[in-house]
Order: sequence, then C-alpha cells, then structure tokens
Amino acid sequence: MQEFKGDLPPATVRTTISLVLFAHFFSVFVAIYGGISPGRDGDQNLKERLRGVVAPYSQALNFESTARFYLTHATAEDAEYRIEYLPEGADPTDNRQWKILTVGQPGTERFHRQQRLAEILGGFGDAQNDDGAAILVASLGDALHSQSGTEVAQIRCFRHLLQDQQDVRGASVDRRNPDDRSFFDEVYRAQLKRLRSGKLLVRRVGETGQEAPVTGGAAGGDRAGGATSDSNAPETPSEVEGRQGAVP
Amino acid sequence: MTPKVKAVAAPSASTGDAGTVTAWDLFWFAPSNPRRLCQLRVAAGLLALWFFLGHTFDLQIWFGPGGLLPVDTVKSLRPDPYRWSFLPLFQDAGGLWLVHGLAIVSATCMAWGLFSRTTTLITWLFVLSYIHRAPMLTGVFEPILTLTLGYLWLAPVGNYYSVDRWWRERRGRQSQPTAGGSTASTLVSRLIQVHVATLYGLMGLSKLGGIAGSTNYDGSWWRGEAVWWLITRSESRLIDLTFLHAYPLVVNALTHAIVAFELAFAVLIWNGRIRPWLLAVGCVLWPLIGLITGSLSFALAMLSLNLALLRPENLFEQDVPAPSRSG
Repeated sequence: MQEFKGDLPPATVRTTISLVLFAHFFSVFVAIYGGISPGRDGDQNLKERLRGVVAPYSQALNFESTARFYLTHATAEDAEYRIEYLPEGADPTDNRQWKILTVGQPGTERFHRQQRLAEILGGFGDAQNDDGAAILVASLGDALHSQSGTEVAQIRCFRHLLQDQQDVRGASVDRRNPDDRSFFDEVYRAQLKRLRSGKLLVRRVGETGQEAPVTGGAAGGDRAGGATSDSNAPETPSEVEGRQGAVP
Repeated sequence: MTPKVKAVAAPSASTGDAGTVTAWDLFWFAPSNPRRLCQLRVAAGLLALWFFLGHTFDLQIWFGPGGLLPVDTVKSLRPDPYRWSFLPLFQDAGGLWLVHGLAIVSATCMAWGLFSRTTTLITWLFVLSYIHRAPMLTGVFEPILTLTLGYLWLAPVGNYYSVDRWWRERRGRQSQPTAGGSTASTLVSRLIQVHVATLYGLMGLSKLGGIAGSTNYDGSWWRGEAVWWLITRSESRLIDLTFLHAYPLVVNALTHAIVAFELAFAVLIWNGRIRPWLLAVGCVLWPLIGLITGSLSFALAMLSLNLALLRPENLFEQDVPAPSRSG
C-alpha cells in the first residue's frame, strides 16, 4: 500500500472529529428518517424516543424534518387552503363582501407562509381543535384590526379541493375551472366579538366540511363551499377568549 | 510551480483494518480546494438574502406588535422547547426593523465575501432565529438553507470570489498556496454531501411510505398519479399543466421518474461516473418541480447544492492555488 503524501491532521484530532461526525450524523439520521412511516407500533415508539433524545440538537439547528419533502400524498392535508374574513357590518350571505387574505404572489416565500397559516387553521378545523383555532383566529382578528382599523365579524377557512384527472377529462367548463365554488369546502368558520376589555371573543359556528373528500369526485352538490350555508348554524360549545388586542 | 496534493492510498483487502481507517481518513480529511464551497457561499448568501427580503414586507404583519403571530400564540401552537430565537427579544417595531436590517446586511456581506466565515455564521444564526420564531410557517426551503449555512461557515469560504481575497491581494499579501489545500474544505464538502444524500433518501422514501402519524396515504406516488395532484394545486403552481390530463402516461412517467431520481441520487451519487448524469437530471427536474409546486426557492436551493457535489470523486487530486488564510 502506498502512502498518502499530503498533510492530514494528527491522529488524535482525526479520531475526535470522527466521533463527533458519528454523533452528528446519528442525530441527523434519527431526526430525518424518524418521520417516515409506516412502521409497527414498537418501531414508532423507538423512533419517537430516539427523536426525543436528539431533539435538543436537531431542533435547535433545524435538522428535524417536519417539512413536506414528499410534496404531496393527495390527502386532505395536501390540498390548499384559503382564509376569508368578513368586515363588521357586512352581509355574511353575500360572498362578494368576504375578503380573501392574500399575502404575496405565487412562487414567493411570502405566499407560501400565508398558505401555511391557512393550512394550520384548516387543520384545526378538521381536527375540531377549537381552542387552537381560536388562538389563531384571535390573532388574525387583532392583526387585521390593527392594520386596517376595521373590526372583523367573521373568519372562515376553505379547503381548495383538487381536481381529479377524470373530472377534467371531458368535463363541463365549470368542472374545468379550479376556482369554481364547488371546489371549495368550508372547514372552519368563527364569529368574532370584541369585548369591553379589548379581548376578542371567538366562537366557532357550523359543522360543515368535516367529511368532505379532498379529491373532486362527484359534481358540486353538497360540497358547494358552504359559503352561505351556516351563518345561522347553532354554535358549538367552544368559546375561547382570544388575547388582548394590541390596538386600543 | 503549483504544488500538487496527490492521494494514492487505497484500501485493499490485504490491509485489513488499516486500509479501512485510511479510506475513512482520506474521505473526510484529505485536504482539498475550497473553490466549490466559495461558489456555494455566494449562492447560499443570495438565497439567504432572498429569504430575508421576503420577510421585509410582512415583518410587522407576522412578528410585530399586533401581528399575526405573537410569541405566546406560537408557543401555544408549536411548543417545541429547543427552538431558540432571539427575535422575541425585539417585540417593538423599531427593534424588529433593526434586527431585520442587520440580517440583510449580514447576508449581503456573506454573498460578497466580506468577513466571509463570520458573516456566514451570523447569517445562519439570523436564519435560524427567523425560522424558530414561527416554525409553523416554514416549508421545504428553509431546512435546505439552514443545512447549507450551518456547514459552510466551518470552511475557508472566503478564499475565492470574495472581497476578503480582493482586499488581501490589494494590500500586497499575495496568496500563499497551501501544499495540502484545506482539510476543513474537505470536511465541510463531505458533511454537505452526506447530509444532502440523506435528504434525497428521505424525499424518495417518504413519497413511497408516507409519514408518521398519517394513516390515509393511498399510494399516489406508487400509482404514478402524484404529479397530477401537484399540477392541480391551482393556487400555488406557476405553470398550468392540466392539459396533461389527456396524457396520463406522461404524468405516470414523470411521477415515477421523480421518485427513481431521488432514490438513485441518495445511493449512486457516490459513483463518480454516474454522478454527472444525476446532477444533469437534477438540473431539469428541480426547475420543473419548482414551477409545478410554486416552490422556486426550494428548487434553487437544491440546484445550488449541486455545487458541493461537482468536484471529482478524488477530492485530493487537485491543484491547490488557494490562499492560506480564510475570510
């Protein structure tokens, strides 16, 4: 065997760095591959425990992979979401009076961040996590109020259903248009009311959209967005006071 | 005459453990030229700048007083105890703008190569702080950016394409070629390569196997339909390819090609003959994925990482005309 003629670090340094490399990549592998499914229950427990062990390192340096590197699995979580809000005094039955929350242009990170916010709210709506949703909606209501000076009366979140290939193939013009109202499924709606203390009271209304499929299958019908369907629906028991508004 | 570093050691069956150790040492520690990493520093600096500029318009909307995501809201929604950030220390508008300005200056200096290693480290810490301030808003772009920055500052990334180098030469301090190149350069290159290969493996496997906690994955990547479901996300996409509904075989082929590419990349990137082909395929697929999904930043970040993979298989068989001092 011939000798390497370049300069290498001393053996002790190489050994030390090698041990650090092992610890580093062990953490990285656990953090990255710990998020892949499926696995047996025992495997999941092992993975979760290992992820917990390396969490201080992997979370602090953002190695832990919670991002959607698979791009899509065509599930409900992989659809797009849209948040709309209704200024105080506007008619909730008139879709033209609802304003779409938009930030940035498609392709920009600004746009993606706004999409993720809508996705979180939609996820809370799906999971009936009214407390989580109320925290978010209260923040939204306060932010919109502080920026535009207008109180928000209602906030709703739509899941933008995906078009099946079969739907588009040979379909009517409406079914070809992804912005047709039949492709929107309301997953959350809440009324907002500002209390004398300055806090926002968030109250979820309606029960729509909980079982709607993500793919556009049959024609519109019951999946017609719920845009006007439930403003007078019975209130759910969950009422959560949001945080205090920043603007008096 | 430019000194050359030449590696001729190769593990053989007869060398046993000693051969294994030598191969490991050569893989991680044989000195190499940091030119590619300097190119990657410029690309990563521009991406970091893009990341910060993207926050400029919405800084107060997201993080400011009365913003969408106050600190307590984030803690309620995402109670990750180890995600640190110094942004919560600056809750007033003025403080936020000050921090944001410093972040932009840092990324700009990094891209230009001014105090390269220091500004790369500082930019990394800024990016991590922004990400951890609201981790629920991050996507696939941010992990790529942080891994790149997190490794780069360990290498002499100011040796080329930098104000640092220009300044040293202007002051008459000629570059002193180092006989062995830089061990840190090899170490960082390898760290990035292994990490990127791991991520490619994750991308391929999570497409096929689903993710933990999800029970309703119906195998769209197995059936060759997944690209269609990306195409039909009408709010994010930058090009409308829905006309492909008439060509389902094209959709199927594209879907399977993406998975095959990612799985092959994770393993075959270590083969010097196949590597250029994989990088070439990536140059086609990533822009396409970026246009279909609207994740242009992610696609650009993945393309820029190719720079860390462009060097020949034997990193140490290169001329090393690099200056001895890093930025």
